[in-house]
Amino acid sequence: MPERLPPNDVTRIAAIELSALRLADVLPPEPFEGAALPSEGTPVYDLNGELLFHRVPIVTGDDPAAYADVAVHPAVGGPLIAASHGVAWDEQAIVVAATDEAHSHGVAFDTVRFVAYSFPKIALQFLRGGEEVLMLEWGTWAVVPPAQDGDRKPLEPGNFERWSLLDELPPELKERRAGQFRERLAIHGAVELRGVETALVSRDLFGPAAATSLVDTRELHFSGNQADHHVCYEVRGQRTSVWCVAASTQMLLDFYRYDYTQVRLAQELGLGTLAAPSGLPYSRVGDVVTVIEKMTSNALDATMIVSPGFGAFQSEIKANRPTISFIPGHSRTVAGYTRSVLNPFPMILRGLLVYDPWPPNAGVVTRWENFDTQVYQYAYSAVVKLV
Amino acid sequence: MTETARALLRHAAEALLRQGTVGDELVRERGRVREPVPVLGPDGEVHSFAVGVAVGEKLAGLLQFLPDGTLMRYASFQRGRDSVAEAPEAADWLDPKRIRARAEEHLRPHESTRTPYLTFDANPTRLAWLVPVVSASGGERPLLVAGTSVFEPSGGGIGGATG
Repeated sequence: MPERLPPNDVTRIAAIELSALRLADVLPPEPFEGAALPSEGTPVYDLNGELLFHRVPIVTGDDPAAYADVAVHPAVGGPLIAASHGVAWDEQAIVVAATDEAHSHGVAFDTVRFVAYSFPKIALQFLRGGEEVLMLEWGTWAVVPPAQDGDRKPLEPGNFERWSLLDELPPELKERRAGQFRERLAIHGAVELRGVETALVSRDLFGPAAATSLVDTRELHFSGNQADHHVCYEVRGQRTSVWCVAASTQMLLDFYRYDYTQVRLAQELGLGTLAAPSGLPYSRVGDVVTVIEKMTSNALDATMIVSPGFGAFQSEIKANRPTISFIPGHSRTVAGYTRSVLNPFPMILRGLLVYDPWPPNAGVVTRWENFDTQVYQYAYSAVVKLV
Repeated sequence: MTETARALLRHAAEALLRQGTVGDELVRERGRVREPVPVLGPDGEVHSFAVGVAVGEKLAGLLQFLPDGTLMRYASFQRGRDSVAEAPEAADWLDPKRIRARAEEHLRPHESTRTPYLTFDANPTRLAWLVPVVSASGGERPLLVAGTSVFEPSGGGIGGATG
């Protein structure tokens, strides 16, 4: 099994991934059905110099109507990063336009390459003797400023700041994503797909036996018995625009029949009052554990999970326990999960059932949140202590 | 936003609805897909698109798509199966005139508003309309409108804009 995707396999992998999304009706017929992938496209590098992905043009008839980003580096986590339509990808025309722009800046260069200066945003890097002399953002042709000095946290870049995806990904996340990447490539090497040699996108690629099937989905119930009880969870809207943590804690405690008001929980969490509310500072994320245990007289054993994977949520739901989920700037609770599998080979789509306290005084139930499009920072589980 | 892009998003939303990927039986049978609305990020660029699904005058839910067409989430306002009785009015989320008028109930003396746009507060899942409020001296402050709630953008921390 190759560690990275070989460039000569880019169009085949892209065709299979895009065809699977067509089969699942995730991608619309226009412009994808019957589209061709005439070349492996444009290599796009990380700022640290490693090859990250290829941007592959998707052509319908004679028109370049769309493009797909196909990962080469395993740390991206999966071969297909995105499929975009509405904008064509014409590498040659882009380089010509960028070169004209670079000349207007009066720089001399011998090499031009595409870089993900703020993944997945693209820029053109102009080099001379291997050293950068200019970087221009694709499309706007704005000069991308040099890397900023500073002591910010990884993966929290400022506006229009260049940063390296590969250098800033935490090592454990990188390793996990590499594992996912290898698993996905193994699927492409499976018996059913080994013989697929194509550069065409079609929902019929996999034959008449292919279909989507929901193989595993589960929601919180009154008890662990899934067969004879109803779904048992309620959404609580946050009482102020900054009390998502209080509302999330309230939802979790409500599940265990601890009937606290959100105002009281906000007070315990140090989030002020209805008249003068505040959010929870990142420096106090551990307070959620303390408050859950305090408000239940330690009947609940709470745990904070850093950078939770899908499996962390899945195992909690299987144990019939809700989970508080922190994403950048927000908190919600998770009350279910689903894994859709595209047959006959396992192309997996993962989703979470999210009880979201936003908008204020209302809240929504998000069914389903695409797990692969969100950043999960912290999760909190709470286990009833048994005697 | 081009008409082609609008049509593609509407198609994707319709397909997800009719297949039963999102919504319950009531929404699948009576839900109507509304026009996609761009969700702008703090940098003014399009972060995603929100597509409302209405049953009559009620907003059953919102689909949120990334610019490449990937479904990011479906947020349901339903509080009970096959019921939209407690869902908000669609106009509270989709009619810029009503949203602007709601913000104008919170103006200070000599303030006026500009055209609102859909954005988010701190995280893309926290959708809200931003109504720019202009004072007599020309100063500007933002007001956010999320359904019937009107507030100023949040401060720091979880639930706030930054750490």
